[in-house]
Amino acid sequence: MKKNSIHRFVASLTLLFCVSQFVAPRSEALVGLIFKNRTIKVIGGLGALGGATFGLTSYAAAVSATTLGSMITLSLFTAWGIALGGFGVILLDDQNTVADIEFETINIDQPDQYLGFTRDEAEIYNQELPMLNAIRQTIASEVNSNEDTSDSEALWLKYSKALNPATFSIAKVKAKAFVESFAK
Amino acid sequence: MRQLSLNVCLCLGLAFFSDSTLAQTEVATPNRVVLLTSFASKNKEVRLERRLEKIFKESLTPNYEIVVIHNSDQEVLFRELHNSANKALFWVSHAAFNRSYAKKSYSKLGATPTLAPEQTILDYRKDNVAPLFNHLTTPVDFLAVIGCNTDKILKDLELSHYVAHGKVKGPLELKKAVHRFLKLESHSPSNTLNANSSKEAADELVSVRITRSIPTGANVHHLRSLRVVVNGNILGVISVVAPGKNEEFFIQVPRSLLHFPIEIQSAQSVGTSDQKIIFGEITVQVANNEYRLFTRSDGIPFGKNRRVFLP
Repeated sequence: MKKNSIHRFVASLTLLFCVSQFVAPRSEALVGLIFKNRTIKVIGGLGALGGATFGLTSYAAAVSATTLGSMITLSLFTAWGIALGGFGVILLDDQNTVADIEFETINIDQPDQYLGFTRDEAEIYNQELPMLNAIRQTIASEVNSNEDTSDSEALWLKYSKALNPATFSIAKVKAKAFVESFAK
Repeated sequence: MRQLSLNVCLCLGLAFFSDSTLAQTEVATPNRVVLLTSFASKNKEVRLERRLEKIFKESLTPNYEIVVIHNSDQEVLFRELHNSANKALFWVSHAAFNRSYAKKSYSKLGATPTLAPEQTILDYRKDNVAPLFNHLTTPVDFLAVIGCNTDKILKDLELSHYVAHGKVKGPLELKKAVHRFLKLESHSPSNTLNANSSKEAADELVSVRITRSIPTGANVHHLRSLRVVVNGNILGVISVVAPGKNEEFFIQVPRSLLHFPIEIQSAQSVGTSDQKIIFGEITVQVANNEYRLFTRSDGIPFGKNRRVFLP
């Protein structure tokens, strides 16, 4: 009897481990699809227009520096969390959430946030921020799944005509800095 | 604390009592204490909701008017955040904080990055309500936001409020939050965490008229309330409109913000945006000036979970 119980326990653990292995790749695929091919591509394309060397190496660095690792870990945790849920414990974490990356307001009182640009240009950027982020979202929904940023760059050039040149110039610098921060 | 002060005036249109009014009239002290939960209706989560409700009711004395609302969404949250009858508000749901991404961007791009990852506090439909807590000014004295890592997500919240640290279990964290509220109450019953709210009364509010019409036959499951955002500040939430109906809403906007575009946003995050949300036909009007929808050259609006209207 006792031996059977141990067998059952070991079998349950094995099953649980298998379930967790199924959950992780699904989550990874989701992140891969959205993060790698959309969010990073969109910022990467703009960064490339700003002069960033966004080749395959930095692309890989950018992608691997995202939350992929933590997402996979989180999925594993979640699988265990579901099991623990049987005892009434639910961790208030979420397993399938993928982050977007937003352009944010420049603090006009901090000139180091807009080096190389005038205060007026920074104010225009702030004012057009909703438009910039709306364009970014549109491009994210239109880029293809190829692992290069040429289509993203082309879309930025096309749609940025709706923006003030100052906004586009600052956005390119911000995207370049963001992309390069991952390649370092 | 970026632009925290700008939001202060947003509450003015919703605040029913000014200091002087309070001095002149007998107004009951707010004693409404509200628990909002938002979880998918799975068995385990329904049990969790019941447990949270039980803990909440048992932890508070009958002196308070206790209100519990399950399956809350951004419309309920916005309403309760700006309800001056509320003394305390407790929100419990799932949340996600993208640690490695934030760490990279914040450490390498400076303390106030201009590109930042979206943080998420999710309602039961996996819509993101985190932005409602940012740049927040609320007449509510005590606010607790309970979900994993909400302390990192809501960096701007006043210390006197309560946010959860790390991975958390709802019941335990709710007990701690209620305990903290009661402790603060015992020290200072009339404590107002929102001391800034009287400072920015100067900015004149302008009424913005927004209409929303939904086509007949639209799938009601794809309809959501939408938030009205100006310069990063959420100024209001417009309700779901029934298919075939057209409704108008009036949102108070500080005059100093009127030169910014007005955004109408759903609460979808990238992680939940595969589901198509029906915005319907929206118009934005200030006095006689009808704002222009920001579109591509072929007329399709830019944005996915947002529509941008230009002055």
